[in-house]
Amino acid sequence: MSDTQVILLQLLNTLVTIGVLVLASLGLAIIFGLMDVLNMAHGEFIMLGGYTVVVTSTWGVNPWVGAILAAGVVALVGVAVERGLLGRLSGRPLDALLLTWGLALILRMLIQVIFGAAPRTAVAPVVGAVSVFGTPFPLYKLCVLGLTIVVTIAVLLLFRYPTFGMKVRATLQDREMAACLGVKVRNVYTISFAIGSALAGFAGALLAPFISVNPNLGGTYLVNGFMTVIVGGLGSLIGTVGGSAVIGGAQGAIASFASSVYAQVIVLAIAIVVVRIRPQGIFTRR
Amino acid sequence: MASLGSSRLRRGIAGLIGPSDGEGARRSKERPFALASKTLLFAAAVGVASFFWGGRGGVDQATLWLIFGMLAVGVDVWWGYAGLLSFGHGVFFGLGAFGYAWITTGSLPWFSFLGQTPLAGALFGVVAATAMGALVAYFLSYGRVTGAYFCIVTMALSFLLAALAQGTPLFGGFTGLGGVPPLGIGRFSSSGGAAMLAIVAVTLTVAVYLLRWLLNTNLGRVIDGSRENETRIEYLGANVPKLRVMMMALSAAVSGLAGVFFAAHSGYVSSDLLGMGISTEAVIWVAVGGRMTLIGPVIGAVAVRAAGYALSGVATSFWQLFLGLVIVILVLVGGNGIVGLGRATTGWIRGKMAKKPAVGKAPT
Amino acid sequence: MSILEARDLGIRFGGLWALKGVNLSLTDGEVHGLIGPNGSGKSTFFHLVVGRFAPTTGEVLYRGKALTRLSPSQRARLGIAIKFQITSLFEGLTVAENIEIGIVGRQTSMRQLVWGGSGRGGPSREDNDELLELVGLQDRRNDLAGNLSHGQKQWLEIGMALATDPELLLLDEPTSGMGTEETRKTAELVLRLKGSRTILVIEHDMAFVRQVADSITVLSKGEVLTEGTYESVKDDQRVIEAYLGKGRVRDAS
Repeated sequence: MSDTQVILLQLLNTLVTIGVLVLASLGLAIIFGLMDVLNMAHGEFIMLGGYTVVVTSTWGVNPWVGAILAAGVVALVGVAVERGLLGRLSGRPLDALLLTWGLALILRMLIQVIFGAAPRTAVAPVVGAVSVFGTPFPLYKLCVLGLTIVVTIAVLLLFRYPTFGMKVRATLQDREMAACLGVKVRNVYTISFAIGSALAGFAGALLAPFISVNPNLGGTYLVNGFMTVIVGGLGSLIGTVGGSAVIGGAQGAIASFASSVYAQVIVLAIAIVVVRIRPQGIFTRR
Repeated sequence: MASLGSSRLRRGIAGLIGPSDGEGARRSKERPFALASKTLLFAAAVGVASFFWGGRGGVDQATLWLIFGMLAVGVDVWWGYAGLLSFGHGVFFGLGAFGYAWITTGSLPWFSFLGQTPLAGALFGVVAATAMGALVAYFLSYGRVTGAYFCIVTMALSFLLAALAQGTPLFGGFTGLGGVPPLGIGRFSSSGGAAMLAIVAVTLTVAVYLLRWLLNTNLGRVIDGSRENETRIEYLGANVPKLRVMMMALSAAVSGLAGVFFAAHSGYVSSDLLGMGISTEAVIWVAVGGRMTLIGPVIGAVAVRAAGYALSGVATSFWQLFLGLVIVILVLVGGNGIVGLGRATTGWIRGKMAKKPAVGKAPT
Repeated sequence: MSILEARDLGIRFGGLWALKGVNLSLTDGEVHGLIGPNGSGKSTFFHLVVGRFAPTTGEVLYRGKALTRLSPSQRARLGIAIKFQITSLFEGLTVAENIEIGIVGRQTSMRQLVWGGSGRGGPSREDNDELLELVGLQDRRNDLAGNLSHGQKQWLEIGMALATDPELLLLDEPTSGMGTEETRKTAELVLRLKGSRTILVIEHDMAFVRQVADSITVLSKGEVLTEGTYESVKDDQRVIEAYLGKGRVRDAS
């Protein structure tokens, strides 16, 4: 393999990493950006998505369908959480944080009790490799990358154009005013939370074949997701994409010559420095 | 109590608990001596009770709980008083513990000039933790990182440092470091038992005293202001980032000291002391016991740990599940933990007694 | 040199110049009114003085020293205090505690905060009481600030600003939401402070302005329209055209 081929391959791998990060963080960014709620259970939502697809696979359901089911299941969980728990808090953001933390613990342990702590595997819906730059590259990874792009664009469009997107942005700007103008704020929150949760579930399902699905996988995604949001900036979904690019890119680049834990630590250091010198995130306009 | 219909009782209790003050809770102006005495009494009570329950082993357990109580106090200094939630205090706790372990086992050749006495170890551990606290606070406070962002970053720090430590031989890798000597000065060394409990209890009491005294000064007022309305107090001239660095250093010092005691008491340190398990459980202790009370966290730590110990026959997953439920319920119900409930109760009783002077009912 | 001077001060938000080419100079000890229709940039001017925004053009000088590089807390320590239009108090603390924080807030040295001040129990009761009396809130010293009426909150804010012992006091609509009696008391308060401090007041209530102000600057659409005493300004055709002041109907004194 020539050097350019190696680099191009690395690039592609990094793109996939970034794509994964975007998928995993988009849901978090929506919920955090809109409702000012740090969903500490975000990682667990991803985990639930993973387990859903594992379960549906054992029933013989095609993993693609399983992924959609996962999105649905986790969306339902999200709605239940938002209506039943978060909704009762009436805007105490730090309390919401603790609440979702407690929820994360509960979810993690429920899954552990039901499924046990041993990791499960999920089978990819497509196997085999495609020749990219002269070497075989897993087809599934390409599919995930493609799906990520499609989903991201869909979400960006959703929040930008249709009436729904307008209502969301209005509520984000001034909740009371939006309510006065007839926006059902409660529903906006619930639907947004549901979308964010669905995205997390979907991400978990897509990722399942890559990773070992176990009850504790949430932690990394939570941390990574948040760093993405910090670096990318709040209130801007494009910022999330940008942030993922930075974080994913950095991790990918560093991980090629250092262990992944060191990569994460360095990236955290970068994130802290970014926060220090440009608190509003790299991609937002203050 | 005088006869209360069960529905009145329920309403009464609901009224006690009420909506949470959240970030606006006012702190008491309790005198340091009174608070410190209560702390000492509580610690002593815990020690005696655990002795009757489980002999010397019980006392050792109680000491551990009080050590965690000290960590909880450290968290309260930051979360309760400075007002920012941190999921990363395990870092300070762990650094204190490792600092002590490294010095007393001579694992740091660069610092061998300090000797290997427990005292040197303790000092090193506390200083390391404090320095880390000041550093973290410096970056985050001057970077105006607050609220949820602060949470994330501290959480990430804790998570990643623990992961890093797991892969580093200095931190003992997966297995941790053993053979950490106990506390002692000169020829006297305490190897557990009542002596260690007493040391921890007294240190805890002194710490609470000093903290309460400090927070009763003008510093406490300015901290209150920075917590309640950060922007406003800046327009009044306060240098909020500097204040926060001070508070974090203080908080980290107390947490680090707890870590030192942990290392000396258990003789063993491992990388998960740095991680999210301890960091987040410490937050639970403070939430259960009562924020901004200094003694509440101690009570909370002991209560949660004791409950965990009692239920330790049951699988750990159930315990964590239980903890999760406790947090969710605590948040939904509001109030300020055990101490908050206690204060509301005494307030309610006093109110009741004031209302019925002439009626023939005997006061409770 | 004047205590406060704005030189060619301007700020642009996106495409809009909220303030443009503003020149203003305050004499020590005077009470200066800043009036103008809504949207003329009065509050923005305050925000620039106090450091909330950075100007696009020009600068603000405090006793000849440019404030541009200083943060709001640094400016506050120089002696500038502000009472914002929208009350921003420590709602969860008592009235007395709010004032206490005003008194000690600007001490930044740890030694001062812990050992110094007027005793370890906090600012002395006398300092506190004096201020509370000045703003008429001594009866409510132990009430939570959040429970005060709107007018009382305004006074508490003024009290807190005064607690910092400022040389320059900026008051943004101190009588908003107040009735006739409260407005009169506020005017009395401002007059009492005149001379020992310099006060810049934004107001819509013309009767109030006439009572307290030594001289007035009129802003319109972000620029200075005219300056002068109340008498010279009130009949100025341009000012009347720019807006009709509320004070015409209420001749309180």
